[in-house]
Amino acid sequence: MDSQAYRDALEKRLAIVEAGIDESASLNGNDYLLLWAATAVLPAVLLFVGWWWV
Amino acid sequence: MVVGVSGDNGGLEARASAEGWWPLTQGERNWGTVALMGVSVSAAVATWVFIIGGTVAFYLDAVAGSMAMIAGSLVGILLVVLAVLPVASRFGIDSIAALRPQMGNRGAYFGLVLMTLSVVGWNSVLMIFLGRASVEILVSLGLVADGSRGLLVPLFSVASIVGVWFVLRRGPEAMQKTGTAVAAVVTLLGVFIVVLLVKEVGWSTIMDAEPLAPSSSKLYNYTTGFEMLAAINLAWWPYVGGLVRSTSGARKALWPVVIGLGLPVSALSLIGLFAALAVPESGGDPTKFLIELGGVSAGVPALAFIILANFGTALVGTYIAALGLAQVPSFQGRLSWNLSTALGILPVAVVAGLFGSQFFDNIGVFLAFLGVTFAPICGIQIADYYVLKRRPSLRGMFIHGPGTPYHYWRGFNPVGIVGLLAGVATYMYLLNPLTYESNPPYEYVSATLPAAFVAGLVYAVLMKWVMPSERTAVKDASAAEPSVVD
Repeated sequence: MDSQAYRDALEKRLAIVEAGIDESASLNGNDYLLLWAATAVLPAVLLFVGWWWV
Repeated sequence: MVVGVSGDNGGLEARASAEGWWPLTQGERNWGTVALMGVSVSAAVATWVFIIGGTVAFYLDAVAGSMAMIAGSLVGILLVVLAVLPVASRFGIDSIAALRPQMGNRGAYFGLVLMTLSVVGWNSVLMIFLGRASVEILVSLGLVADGSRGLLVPLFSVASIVGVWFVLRRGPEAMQKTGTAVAAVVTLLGVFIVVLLVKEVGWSTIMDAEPLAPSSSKLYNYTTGFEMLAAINLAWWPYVGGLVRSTSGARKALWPVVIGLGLPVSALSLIGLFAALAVPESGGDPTKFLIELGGVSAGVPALAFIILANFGTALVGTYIAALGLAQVPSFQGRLSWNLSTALGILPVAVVAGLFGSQFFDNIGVFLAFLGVTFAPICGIQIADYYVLKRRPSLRGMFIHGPGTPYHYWRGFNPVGIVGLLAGVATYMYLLNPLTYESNPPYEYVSATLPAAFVAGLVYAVLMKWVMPSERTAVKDASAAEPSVVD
Protein backbone atom coordinates (compact mmCIF):
# COMPACT_ATOMS: atom_id res chain seq x y z
CA MET A 1 0.00 0.00 0.00
CA ASP A 2 1.41 3.39 -0.92
CA SER A 3 1.58 6.32 1.45
CA GLN A 4 -1.48 8.09 0.01
CA ALA A 5 -3.63 5.01 0.47
CA TYR A 6 -2.27 4.64 4.00
CA ARG A 7 -3.17 8.24 4.79
CA ASP A 8 -6.63 7.92 3.26
CA ALA A 9 -7.32 4.86 5.39
CA LEU A 10 -6.00 6.61 8.49
CA GLU A 11 -8.04 9.77 7.81
CA LYS A 12 -11.16 7.69 7.35
CA ARG A 13 -10.56 5.90 10.65
CA LEU A 14 -9.88 9.13 12.55
CA ALA A 15 -13.13 10.60 11.26
CA ILE A 16 -15.04 7.50 12.41
CA VAL A 17 -13.39 7.60 15.85
CA GLU A 18 -14.08 11.31 16.31
CA ALA A 19 -17.70 10.89 15.28
CA GLY A 20 -18.12 8.08 17.78
CA ILE A 21 -16.86 9.95 20.85
CA ASP A 22 -19.41 9.71 23.63
CA GLU A 23 -19.10 12.74 25.90
CA SER A 24 -21.34 11.19 28.54
CA ALA A 25 -18.82 8.36 28.97
CA SER A 26 -16.19 10.77 30.32
CA LEU A 27 -15.48 10.98 34.05
CA ASN A 28 -17.74 13.42 35.90
CA GLY A 29 -17.44 15.18 39.24
CA ASN A 30 -18.79 12.26 41.24
CA ASP A 31 -16.36 9.87 39.60
CA TYR A 32 -13.45 12.11 40.53
CA LEU A 33 -14.76 12.51 44.05
CA LEU A 34 -14.94 8.75 44.57
CA LEU A 35 -11.56 8.24 42.92
CA TRP A 36 -10.05 10.86 45.18
CA ALA A 37 -11.60 9.28 48.26
CA ALA A 38 -10.37 5.80 47.39
CA THR A 39 -6.87 6.59 46.18
CA ALA A 40 -5.87 9.72 48.09
CA VAL A 41 -7.94 10.08 51.27
CA LEU A 42 -7.93 6.35 52.11
CA PRO A 43 -4.14 6.06 51.65
CA ALA A 44 -3.68 9.12 53.87
CA VAL A 45 -5.74 7.46 56.59
CA LEU A 46 -3.84 4.19 56.20
CA LEU A 47 -0.51 5.99 56.41
CA PHE A 48 -1.62 7.77 59.55
CA VAL A 49 -2.76 4.55 61.20
CA GLY A 50 0.42 2.76 60.14
CA TRP A 51 2.61 5.58 61.43
CA TRP A 52 0.76 5.52 64.73
CA TRP A 53 1.61 1.82 64.90
CA VAL A 54 5.28 2.44 64.14
CA MET B 1 8.38 9.88 3.46
CA VAL B 2 8.30 6.15 4.03
CA VAL B 3 5.26 4.17 4.93
CA GLY B 4 6.27 0.74 6.04
CA VAL B 5 3.04 -1.14 5.62
CA SER B 6 2.19 -3.62 2.97
CA GLY B 7 -0.80 -5.75 2.16
CA ASP B 8 -4.42 -5.00 1.46
CA ASN B 9 -6.32 -2.22 3.16
CA GLY B 10 -8.45 -4.54 5.29
CA GLY B 11 -5.38 -6.34 6.58
CA LEU B 12 -3.66 -3.05 7.26
CA GLU B 13 -6.54 -1.65 9.29
CA ALA B 14 -6.98 -4.81 11.29
CA ARG B 15 -3.29 -5.03 12.11
CA ALA B 16 -2.91 -1.29 12.71
CA SER B 17 -5.74 -1.19 15.23
CA ALA B 18 -4.87 -4.51 16.88
CA GLU B 19 -1.22 -3.53 17.32
CA GLY B 20 -2.07 -0.05 18.54
CA TRP B 21 -0.74 2.10 15.68
CA TRP B 22 -4.24 3.50 15.14
CA PRO B 23 -7.14 4.33 17.49
CA LEU B 24 -10.00 1.89 17.93
CA THR B 25 -13.46 2.84 16.71
CA GLN B 26 -16.46 2.58 19.05
CA GLY B 27 -17.48 -0.60 17.28
CA GLU B 28 -14.15 -2.22 18.07
CA ARG B 29 -14.21 -1.17 21.73
CA ASN B 30 -16.35 -3.94 23.08
CA TRP B 31 -14.88 -4.70 26.50
CA GLY B 32 -17.36 -4.22 29.32
CA THR B 33 -16.60 -3.58 32.97
CA VAL B 34 -16.36 -7.27 33.85
CA ALA B 35 -14.09 -8.10 30.92
CA LEU B 36 -11.74 -5.21 31.73
CA MET B 37 -11.69 -6.18 35.39
CA GLY B 38 -10.77 -9.75 34.46
CA VAL B 39 -7.97 -8.71 32.14
CA SER B 40 -6.66 -6.18 34.67
CA VAL B 41 -6.55 -8.73 37.46
CA SER B 42 -4.90 -11.22 35.11
CA ALA B 43 -2.23 -8.68 34.27
CA ALA B 44 -1.64 -7.72 37.90
CA VAL B 45 -1.45 -11.15 39.48
CA ALA B 46 2.07 -12.43 38.90
CA THR B 47 4.66 -14.05 41.11
CA TRP B 48 7.05 -11.08 41.09
CA VAL B 49 4.79 -9.34 43.58
CA PHE B 50 5.98 -11.82 46.25
CA ILE B 51 9.52 -10.53 45.75
CA ILE B 52 8.38 -6.91 46.06
CA GLY B 53 6.75 -7.62 49.41
CA GLY B 54 9.95 -9.36 50.50
CA THR B 55 11.92 -6.23 49.68
CA VAL B 56 9.65 -4.09 51.86
CA ALA B 57 10.27 -6.55 54.74
CA PHE B 58 13.81 -5.19 54.96
CA TYR B 59 12.33 -1.92 56.22
CA LEU B 60 8.98 -2.60 57.87
CA ASP B 61 7.14 -5.09 60.05
CA ALA B 62 3.86 -6.72 59.10
CA VAL B 63 1.40 -4.05 60.25
CA ALA B 64 3.27 -0.90 59.23
CA GLY B 65 4.34 -2.61 56.01
CA SER B 66 0.75 -3.52 55.16
CA MET B 67 -0.44 0.05 55.66
CA ALA B 68 2.41 1.61 53.70
CA MET B 69 2.13 -0.88 50.85
CA ILE B 70 -1.63 -0.58 50.37
CA ALA B 71 -1.37 3.23 50.54
CA GLY B 72 1.52 3.26 48.06
CA SER B 73 -0.37 1.05 45.64
CA LEU B 74 -3.43 3.26 45.69
CA VAL B 75 -1.49 6.49 45.24
CA GLY B 76 0.55 5.00 42.40
CA ILE B 77 -2.55 3.86 40.57
CA LEU B 78 -4.17 7.28 41.12
CA LEU B 79 -1.32 9.01 39.28
CA VAL B 80 -1.50 6.58 36.37
CA VAL B 81 -5.28 6.77 36.10
CA LEU B 82 -5.30 10.57 36.09
CA ALA B 83 -2.49 10.67 33.53
CA VAL B 84 -3.71 8.12 30.99
CA LEU B 85 -7.32 7.06 31.44
CA PRO B 86 -9.31 10.14 30.30
CA VAL B 87 -7.50 10.46 26.98
CA ALA B 88 -6.87 6.79 26.20
CA SER B 89 -10.47 5.79 26.85
CA ARG B 90 -11.90 8.79 25.00
CA PHE B 91 -10.07 8.06 21.77
CA GLY B 92 -9.36 4.33 22.02
CA ILE B 93 -5.60 4.89 22.00
CA ASP B 94 -2.68 3.43 23.93
CA SER B 95 -0.44 5.17 26.45
CA ILE B 96 2.29 6.02 23.95
CA ALA B 97 -0.13 7.85 21.65
CA ALA B 98 -1.59 9.65 24.68
CA LEU B 99 1.89 11.02 25.44
CA ARG B 100 2.25 12.75 22.05
CA PRO B 101 0.53 16.02 23.05
CA GLN B 102 3.03 16.54 25.87
CA MET B 103 6.29 15.16 24.45
CA GLY B 104 5.72 15.62 20.71
CA ASN B 105 5.06 13.02 18.06
CA ARG B 106 8.63 11.77 18.14
CA GLY B 107 9.32 12.59 21.78
CA ALA B 108 6.54 10.19 22.79
CA TYR B 109 8.78 7.31 21.73
CA PHE B 110 10.60 7.95 24.99
CA GLY B 111 7.55 6.37 26.59
CA LEU B 112 8.03 3.40 24.32
CA VAL B 113 11.64 3.03 25.44
CA LEU B 114 10.54 3.14 29.08
CA MET B 115 7.82 0.61 28.43
CA THR B 116 10.31 -1.75 26.80
CA LEU B 117 12.82 -1.38 29.64
CA SER B 118 10.08 -1.94 32.20
CA VAL B 119 8.80 -5.08 30.47
CA VAL B 120 12.34 -6.40 30.05
CA GLY B 121 12.96 -5.81 33.76
CA TRP B 122 9.83 -7.64 34.88
CA ASN B 123 10.44 -10.48 32.44
CA SER B 124 13.98 -10.81 33.77
CA VAL B 125 12.65 -11.09 37.32
CA LEU B 126 10.24 -13.79 36.20
CA MET B 127 12.77 -15.82 34.25
CA ILE B 128 15.38 -15.76 37.01
CA PHE B 129 12.64 -16.68 39.46
CA LEU B 130 11.65 -19.54 37.15
CA GLY B 131 15.24 -20.75 36.91
CA ARG B 132 15.53 -20.79 40.69
CA ALA B 133 12.29 -22.75 41.09
CA SER B 134 13.41 -25.31 38.48
CA VAL B 135 16.78 -25.89 40.12
CA GLU B 136 15.22 -26.03 43.57
CA ILE B 137 13.03 -28.92 42.42
CA LEU B 138 16.05 -30.79 41.05
CA VAL B 139 18.07 -30.19 44.21
CA SER B 140 15.22 -31.30 46.48
CA LEU B 141 14.79 -34.50 44.47
CA GLY B 142 18.53 -35.16 44.68
CA LEU B 143 18.99 -34.98 40.92
CA VAL B 144 21.65 -32.25 41.02
CA ALA B 145 24.15 -31.15 43.63
CA ASP B 146 23.34 -28.32 46.00
CA GLY B 147 26.36 -26.34 44.84
CA SER B 148 25.35 -26.31 41.19
CA ARG B 149 22.75 -23.56 41.58
CA GLY B 150 25.10 -20.82 40.35
CA LEU B 151 25.54 -22.58 37.03
CA LEU B 152 22.12 -24.12 36.57
CA VAL B 153 19.85 -21.18 37.42
CA PRO B 154 21.05 -19.04 34.46
CA LEU B 155 20.91 -22.08 32.19
CA PHE B 156 17.33 -22.88 33.14
CA SER B 157 16.39 -19.21 32.85
CA VAL B 158 17.77 -18.95 29.33
CA ALA B 159 16.24 -22.29 28.32
CA SER B 160 12.86 -21.03 29.53
CA ILE B 161 13.30 -17.84 27.54
CA VAL B 162 13.87 -19.92 24.41
CA GLY B 163 10.72 -21.85 25.35
CA VAL B 164 8.70 -18.64 25.64
CA TRP B 165 9.87 -17.52 22.22
CA PHE B 166 9.08 -20.95 20.75
CA VAL B 167 5.51 -20.91 22.11
CA LEU B 168 4.94 -17.37 20.84
CA ARG B 169 5.97 -18.46 17.34
CA ARG B 170 2.40 -19.66 16.96
CA GLY B 171 1.37 -16.02 17.03
CA PRO B 172 -0.64 -13.80 19.37
CA GLU B 173 -3.32 -16.49 19.72
CA ALA B 174 -0.86 -18.32 21.99
CA MET B 175 -1.72 -15.63 24.48
CA GLN B 176 -5.43 -16.38 24.67
CA LYS B 177 -6.56 -17.42 28.12
CA THR B 178 -2.95 -17.44 29.35
CA GLY B 179 -3.50 -14.40 31.56
CA THR B 180 -6.55 -15.85 33.28
CA ALA B 181 -4.86 -19.19 33.86
CA VAL B 182 -1.77 -17.52 35.32
CA ALA B 183 -3.89 -15.37 37.64
CA ALA B 184 -5.72 -18.45 38.92
CA VAL B 185 -2.46 -20.35 39.49
CA VAL B 186 -0.77 -17.46 41.29
CA THR B 187 -3.81 -16.81 43.48
CA LEU B 188 -3.89 -20.47 44.50
CA LEU B 189 -0.17 -20.31 45.15
CA GLY B 190 -0.64 -17.23 47.33
CA VAL B 191 -3.34 -18.93 49.39
CA PHE B 192 -1.12 -22.02 49.73
CA ILE B 193 1.81 -19.90 50.93
CA VAL B 194 -0.32 -18.10 53.53
CA VAL B 195 -1.70 -21.41 54.85
CA LEU B 196 1.80 -22.89 54.91
CA LEU B 197 3.24 -19.91 56.77
CA VAL B 198 0.46 -19.78 59.34
CA LYS B 199 0.64 -23.54 59.90
CA GLU B 200 4.42 -23.87 60.09
CA VAL B 201 5.50 -20.51 61.49
CA GLY B 202 2.41 -19.12 63.19
CA TRP B 203 0.44 -15.92 62.67
CA SER B 204 1.68 -14.29 65.88
CA THR B 205 5.29 -14.96 64.90
CA ILE B 206 4.74 -13.15 61.62
CA MET B 207 2.96 -10.24 63.27
CA ASP B 208 5.69 -9.90 65.92
CA ALA B 209 8.63 -10.27 63.53
CA GLU B 210 11.03 -7.35 63.28
CA PRO B 211 12.01 -5.85 59.91
CA LEU B 212 15.03 -7.60 58.37
CA ALA B 213 17.44 -4.69 57.93
CA PRO B 214 15.77 -1.40 58.81
CA SER B 215 17.42 1.99 58.74
CA SER B 216 17.81 3.83 62.04
CA SER B 217 15.10 6.25 60.90
CA LYS B 218 11.62 4.82 61.33
CA LEU B 219 10.16 7.48 59.09
CA TYR B 220 12.64 6.61 56.31
CA ASN B 221 11.61 2.95 56.55
CA TYR B 222 7.95 3.80 56.43
CA THR B 223 8.28 6.18 53.50
CA THR B 224 10.41 3.69 51.59
CA GLY B 225 7.76 0.99 51.94
CA PHE B 226 5.22 3.44 50.54
CA GLU B 227 7.61 4.57 47.82
CA MET B 228 8.29 1.07 46.52
CA LEU B 229 4.65 0.20 46.00
CA ALA B 230 3.87 3.60 44.50
CA ALA B 231 6.73 3.09 42.02
CA ILE B 232 5.55 -0.41 41.08
CA ASN B 233 2.07 0.80 40.36
CA LEU B 234 3.43 3.61 38.21
CA ALA B 235 4.76 0.83 36.00
CA TRP B 236 1.13 0.26 34.96
CA TRP B 237 1.44 3.41 32.87
CA PRO B 238 2.06 1.55 29.58
CA TYR B 239 -0.53 -1.12 30.37
CA VAL B 240 -3.42 1.19 31.31
CA GLY B 241 -3.72 2.71 27.85
CA GLY B 242 -3.55 -0.71 26.23
CA LEU B 243 -6.32 -1.97 28.48
CA VAL B 244 -8.78 0.93 28.56
CA ARG B 245 -8.63 1.63 24.83
CA SER B 246 -10.84 -1.41 24.36
CA THR B 247 -13.66 -0.01 26.50
CA SER B 248 -16.22 2.51 25.30
CA GLY B 249 -15.52 5.22 27.87
CA ALA B 250 -13.66 6.37 30.96
CA ARG B 251 -16.53 5.75 33.37
CA LYS B 252 -16.67 2.10 32.38
CA ALA B 253 -12.91 1.72 32.72
CA LEU B 254 -12.21 3.60 35.95
CA TRP B 255 -12.95 1.09 38.70
CA PRO B 256 -11.83 -2.06 36.87
CA VAL B 257 -8.44 -0.41 36.48
CA VAL B 258 -8.19 0.94 40.05
CA ILE B 259 -9.40 -2.28 41.65
CA GLY B 260 -8.11 -4.77 39.10
CA LEU B 261 -4.57 -3.43 38.86
CA GLY B 262 -4.02 -1.75 42.22
CA LEU B 263 -5.48 -4.19 44.73
CA PRO B 264 -4.01 -7.53 43.57
CA VAL B 265 -0.53 -6.09 43.63
CA SER B 266 -0.85 -4.85 47.20
CA ALA B 267 -2.65 -8.03 48.38
CA LEU B 268 -0.08 -10.44 46.96
CA SER B 269 2.81 -8.21 47.97
CA LEU B 270 1.60 -8.57 51.54
CA ILE B 271 2.08 -12.33 51.24
CA GLY B 272 5.68 -11.70 50.17
CA LEU B 273 6.11 -9.34 53.14
CA PHE B 274 4.75 -11.93 55.58
CA ALA B 275 6.86 -14.69 54.03
CA ALA B 276 10.04 -12.66 54.31
CA LEU B 277 9.30 -11.79 57.93
CA ALA B 278 8.53 -15.44 58.73
CA VAL B 279 11.53 -16.84 56.86
CA PRO B 280 14.01 -13.95 56.88
CA GLU B 281 16.67 -15.62 54.72
CA SER B 282 14.13 -16.00 51.88
CA GLY B 283 13.61 -12.28 51.22
CA GLY B 284 10.04 -13.22 50.26
CA ASP B 285 11.27 -15.57 47.53
CA PRO B 286 9.05 -18.69 47.83
CA THR B 287 11.67 -20.85 46.09
CA LYS B 288 13.75 -20.54 49.23
CA PHE B 289 11.23 -21.81 51.74
CA LEU B 290 8.55 -23.90 50.02
CA ILE B 291 10.56 -27.14 50.27
CA GLU B 292 11.84 -26.28 53.75
CA LEU B 293 8.38 -25.57 55.16
CA GLY B 294 6.15 -27.76 53.00
CA GLY B 295 8.47 -30.72 52.45
CA VAL B 296 9.07 -32.29 49.05
CA SER B 297 5.50 -33.53 48.62
CA ALA B 298 3.95 -30.05 48.94
CA GLY B 299 6.92 -27.90 48.01
CA VAL B 300 7.70 -29.45 44.63
CA PRO B 301 4.16 -29.03 43.22
CA ALA B 302 4.13 -25.45 44.51
CA LEU B 303 7.45 -24.76 42.77
CA ALA B 304 6.02 -26.30 39.61
CA PHE B 305 3.13 -23.81 39.91
CA ILE B 306 5.68 -21.00 40.06
CA ILE B 307 7.33 -22.28 36.91
CA LEU B 308 4.01 -22.45 35.05
CA ALA B 309 2.86 -19.05 36.29
CA ASN B 310 6.12 -17.32 35.43
CA PHE B 311 6.20 -18.90 32.01
CA GLY B 312 2.68 -17.64 31.32
CA THR B 313 3.40 -14.14 32.59
CA ALA B 314 6.56 -13.98 30.50
CA LEU B 315 4.51 -14.90 27.44
CA VAL B 316 2.31 -11.88 28.12
CA GLY B 317 5.32 -9.64 28.78
CA THR B 318 7.09 -10.70 25.60
CA TYR B 319 3.89 -10.17 23.63
CA ILE B 320 3.69 -6.61 25.01
CA ALA B 321 7.36 -5.98 24.18
CA ALA B 322 6.77 -7.20 20.62
CA LEU B 323 3.75 -4.91 20.28
CA GLY B 324 5.89 -2.06 21.57
CA LEU B 325 8.38 -2.60 18.77
CA ALA B 326 5.49 -2.49 16.29
CA GLN B 327 4.79 1.09 17.41
CA VAL B 328 8.04 2.31 15.83
CA PRO B 329 7.03 3.59 12.38
CA SER B 330 10.12 2.24 10.65
CA PHE B 331 9.35 -1.24 12.04
CA GLN B 332 5.63 -1.27 11.19
CA GLY B 333 4.97 -4.09 8.77
CA ARG B 334 8.67 -4.80 8.37
CA LEU B 335 9.34 -7.07 11.32
CA SER B 336 8.02 -10.60 11.18
CA TRP B 337 6.22 -11.81 14.30
CA ASN B 338 9.07 -14.20 15.12
CA LEU B 339 11.66 -11.45 14.83
CA SER B 340 9.57 -9.05 16.95
CA THR B 341 9.25 -11.58 19.76
CA ALA B 342 12.93 -12.52 19.48
CA LEU B 343 13.97 -8.87 19.77
CA GLY B 344 11.54 -8.45 22.65
CA ILE B 345 12.98 -11.30 24.67
CA LEU B 346 16.67 -11.13 23.72
CA PRO B 347 17.52 -8.49 26.37
CA VAL B 348 15.85 -10.71 28.97
CA ALA B 349 18.14 -13.58 27.97
CA VAL B 350 21.18 -11.32 28.39
CA VAL B 351 20.09 -10.11 31.84
CA ALA B 352 18.96 -13.51 33.13
CA GLY B 353 21.87 -15.41 31.62
CA LEU B 354 24.73 -13.09 32.52
CA PHE B 355 23.62 -10.86 35.38
CA GLY B 356 20.74 -12.80 36.92
CA SER B 357 21.95 -12.94 40.47
CA GLN B 358 23.06 -9.30 40.55
CA PHE B 359 19.76 -8.14 39.02
CA PHE B 360 17.64 -10.18 41.41
CA ASP B 361 19.60 -9.00 44.43
CA ASN B 362 19.23 -5.34 43.43
CA ILE B 363 15.57 -5.29 42.52
CA GLY B 364 15.12 -2.14 44.60
CA VAL B 365 17.19 -0.28 42.00
CA PHE B 366 14.83 -1.46 39.28
CA LEU B 367 11.83 -0.30 41.32
CA ALA B 368 13.42 3.11 41.81
CA PHE B 369 14.05 3.30 38.06
CA LEU B 370 10.31 2.88 37.52
CA GLY B 371 9.58 5.75 39.90
CA VAL B 372 12.32 7.96 38.44
CA THR B 373 10.92 7.70 34.94
CA PHE B 374 7.17 7.12 35.12
CA ALA B 375 6.40 9.61 37.91
CA PRO B 376 7.48 12.69 35.89
CA ILE B 377 5.62 11.44 32.83
CA CYS B 378 2.43 11.11 34.86
CA GLY B 379 2.99 14.55 36.36
CA ILE B 380 3.35 16.15 32.93
CA GLN B 381 0.24 14.46 31.54
CA ILE B 382 -1.82 15.38 34.60
CA ALA B 383 -0.70 19.03 34.38
CA ASP B 384 -1.49 19.12 30.68
CA TYR B 385 -5.02 17.78 31.09
CA TYR B 386 -6.14 19.18 34.43
CA VAL B 387 -4.11 22.39 34.88
CA LEU B 388 -3.63 23.66 31.34
CA LYS B 389 -6.91 22.00 30.35
CA ARG B 390 -5.62 21.11 26.92
CA ARG B 391 -7.89 18.70 25.12
CA PRO B 392 -5.80 16.49 22.83
CA SER B 393 -6.39 16.49 19.11
CA LEU B 394 -6.92 13.00 17.73
CA ARG B 395 -5.67 14.03 14.32
CA GLY B 396 -2.67 15.69 15.90
CA MET B 397 -1.72 12.46 17.62
CA PHE B 398 -1.79 10.41 14.44
CA ILE B 399 -1.01 12.79 11.60
CA HIS B 400 2.52 14.03 11.94
CA GLY B 401 4.82 16.49 10.26
CA PRO B 402 5.56 20.23 10.13
CA GLY B 403 2.47 22.32 10.78
CA THR B 404 0.69 19.62 12.77
CA PRO B 405 -0.20 20.24 16.43
CA TYR B 406 2.35 18.04 18.11
CA HIS B 407 5.30 18.53 15.78
CA TYR B 408 6.77 21.23 18.08
CA TRP B 409 10.52 21.14 17.37
CA ARG B 410 11.18 18.35 14.87
CA GLY B 411 8.68 16.14 16.63
CA PHE B 412 9.95 16.89 20.15
CA ASN B 413 8.39 19.23 22.68
CA PRO B 414 11.31 20.91 24.47
CA VAL B 415 9.02 21.95 27.32
CA GLY B 416 7.99 18.34 27.86
CA ILE B 417 11.62 17.28 27.90
CA VAL B 418 12.57 20.02 30.40
CA GLY B 419 9.63 19.07 32.62
CA LEU B 420 10.66 15.42 32.46
CA LEU B 421 14.26 16.22 33.36
CA ALA B 422 13.11 18.42 36.25
CA GLY B 423 11.06 15.52 37.61
CA VAL B 424 13.93 13.05 37.21
CA ALA B 425 16.34 15.44 38.96
CA THR B 426 13.85 15.93 41.79
CA TYR B 427 13.51 12.19 42.30
CA MET B 428 17.25 11.61 42.21
CA TYR B 429 17.88 14.39 44.69
CA LEU B 430 15.33 12.99 47.12
CA LEU B 431 16.21 9.31 46.72
CA ASN B 432 19.32 7.96 45.06
CA PRO B 433 17.96 5.03 43.05
CA LEU B 434 21.26 3.13 43.23
CA THR B 435 22.10 3.48 46.92
CA TYR B 436 18.69 4.37 48.39
CA GLU B 437 20.36 7.23 50.26
CA SER B 438 17.87 10.04 50.76
CA ASN B 439 17.88 13.79 51.21
CA PRO B 440 15.35 15.92 53.07
CA PRO B 441 12.41 16.16 52.80
CA TYR B 442 12.18 12.61 51.36
CA GLU B 443 11.05 11.13 54.66
CA TYR B 444 8.01 13.41 54.68
CA VAL B 445 7.04 13.55 51.02
CA SER B 446 8.55 10.40 49.36
CA ALA B 447 10.22 10.74 45.95
CA THR B 448 7.49 9.74 43.52
CA LEU B 449 4.97 12.41 44.48
CA PRO B 450 7.41 15.37 44.39
CA ALA B 451 8.91 14.11 41.11
CA ALA B 452 5.46 14.05 39.52
CA PHE B 453 4.57 17.43 41.04
CA VAL B 454 7.76 19.23 39.97
CA ALA B 455 7.63 17.77 36.45
CA GLY B 456 4.02 18.87 36.09
CA LEU B 457 4.69 22.32 37.56
CA VAL B 458 7.68 23.04 35.32
CA TYR B 459 5.77 21.78 32.29
CA ALA B 460 2.67 23.84 33.06
CA VAL B 461 4.61 27.05 33.74
CA LEU B 462 6.75 26.75 30.61
CA MET B 463 3.84 25.78 28.38
CA LYS B 464 1.78 28.69 29.66
CA TRP B 465 4.38 31.42 29.53
CA VAL B 466 7.17 30.25 27.25
CA MET B 467 5.16 28.51 24.56
CA PRO B 468 1.74 30.18 24.65
CA SER B 469 1.51 30.04 20.87
CA GLU B 470 1.79 26.26 21.01
CA ARG B 471 -1.09 26.13 23.44
CA THR B 472 -3.23 28.20 21.12
CA ALA B 473 -2.22 26.12 18.16
CA VAL B 474 -3.15 22.94 19.94
CA LYS B 475 -6.50 24.28 21.07
CA ASP B 476 -7.27 24.86 17.42
CA ALA B 477 -5.77 21.58 16.42
CA SER B 478 -8.74 20.33 14.49
CA ALA B 479 -8.08 22.97 11.88
CA ALA B 480 -4.47 21.91 11.36
CA GLU B 481 -3.59 20.72 7.90
CA PRO B 482 -1.55 17.52 7.87
CA SER B 483 1.51 17.46 5.71
CA VAL B 484 3.23 14.19 6.43
CA VAL B 485 2.23 10.87 7.80
CA ASP B 486 5.09 9.05 9.48
